[in-house]
Amino acid sequence: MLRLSGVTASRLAGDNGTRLPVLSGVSFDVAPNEFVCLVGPSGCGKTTLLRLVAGLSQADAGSISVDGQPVSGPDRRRGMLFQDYALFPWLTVRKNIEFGPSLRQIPQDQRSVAVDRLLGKVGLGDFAERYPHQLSGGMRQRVAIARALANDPELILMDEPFASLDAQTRKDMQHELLRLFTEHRKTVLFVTHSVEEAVYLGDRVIVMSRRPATVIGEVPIALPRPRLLLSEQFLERRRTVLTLLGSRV
Amino acid sequence: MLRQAYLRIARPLTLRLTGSRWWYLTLSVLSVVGFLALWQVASLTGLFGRYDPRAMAIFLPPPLAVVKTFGQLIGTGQYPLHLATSLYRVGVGFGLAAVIAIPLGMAMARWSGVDAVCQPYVRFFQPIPGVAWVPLAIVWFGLGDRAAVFIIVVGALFPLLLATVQGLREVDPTLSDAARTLGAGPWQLFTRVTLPSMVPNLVTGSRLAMGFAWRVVLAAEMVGVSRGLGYMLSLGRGTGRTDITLATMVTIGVLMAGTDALVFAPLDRLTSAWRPQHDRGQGVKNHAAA
Repeated sequence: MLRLSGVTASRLAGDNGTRLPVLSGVSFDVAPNEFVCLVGPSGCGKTTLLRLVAGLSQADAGSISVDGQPVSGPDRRRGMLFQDYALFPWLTVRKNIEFGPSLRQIPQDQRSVAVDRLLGKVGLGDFAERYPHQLSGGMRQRVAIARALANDPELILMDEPFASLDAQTRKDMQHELLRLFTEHRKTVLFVTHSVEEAVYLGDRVIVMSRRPATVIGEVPIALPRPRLLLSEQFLERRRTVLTLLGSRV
Repeated sequence: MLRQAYLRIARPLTLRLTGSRWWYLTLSVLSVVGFLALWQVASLTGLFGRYDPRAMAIFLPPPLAVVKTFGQLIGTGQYPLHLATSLYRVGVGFGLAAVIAIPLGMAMARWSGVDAVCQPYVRFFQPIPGVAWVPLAIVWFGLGDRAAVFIIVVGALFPLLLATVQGLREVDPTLSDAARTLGAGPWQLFTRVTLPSMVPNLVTGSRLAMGFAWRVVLAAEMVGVSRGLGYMLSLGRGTGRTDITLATMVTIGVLMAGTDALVFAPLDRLTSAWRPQHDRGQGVKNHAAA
């Protein structure tokens, strides 16, 4: 479904116009309905990679394609979640979720039904008329998830979506995400720096090296969900990922 | 929707009068009533016998006389005319300033070439008080509405311009990214993300600009521009009717404080949560609590 081959990218470093290489020949595939987690040292270019897949920036070399179509810009079939939620502070929860559909002139009554359903799904039915600043971090990320789902994307890109949540909320959100993932059958590319989170959520974990990043290895998880964090198989897969990370640190 | 939001913010201020607030309010009312009573007595007795009470009628007319004058002025239709004149000038001048400042400010924030061309003038003219333009404005436009409007535009332009530039620079790039991934095109990005992001700064800028606009129009009307509240201020002095001057001062005070309390303060509270810093601060707080 998603195919990256030889993706190389850089970003401006400072004001003197020099470019810092960030990604160097990254290649991997993601199958339809697969949940893939991307781990790597902080600052290794995971966010850059997601932005490229989203179409928010351009690669220097290599190609990215979805269902054989090269990515040329943002597209509503590829939704994205951000670490700081990126909710529109001047819109209510309902209007935030409706943002995508409202861009496409979908009739109001049709939109309302869909939004009500999503509000229920993420457990925010009573908060539809609140504003983002009135919500906790976990609730804000739920709104962001519902907003992405409202566009019915095929692929959802998640950039450390739970990184600024406290431990308990993070656990709850992981459960919720898995529930929604099973229900909606989306393809997910999830960036995190937590190995535990990656092994807990993903069908497969892709390990990246330090900058300029390449793919060092892939670890298939193949464990039934919900996964037990202290089970032998879980710990073994965590060790495999950590070893891969450690080999290049 | 805006009305609901307005009420939600205005209501607690008017109804939440618990113990200490009653005490505060009582003291304030007593203070004002006491001051007015003292003024009335001092004025009628010629500052407690020091001056001739008839001279005091010009020097400092008693408050009840001011109220009476107020009634007369409204009765003759003279007063509504001057009030309407000033309101009209401020309205047109402020509107024109906004129409010039907002597109120009956006162009300056967006293209550094426009910024380079305009910035020298902004730097130079911004510190010059609008009042300094009164003589030239009268020479150019005569003693009517056009001179007054011109000075208001000059006075209100810079706060609005700077607020627009800052507003556009402060648009959160993550919000733009989010909108683009949700399918927003360039025009939708502008109307649905950029413009609303700028609103908090525009409210602050308008608040400042409105204050400047009133100050310069009063000064212009006092110096020579015919009609208007400023004209009435100096009319009172020129004809020995200081009661008219005082009545006009009260009007201006009520007008300006009223606009701020009923329009700008609620708007400011409503939109302060839209500011990017606000949201980020919350995020940090939540994080720290964990």
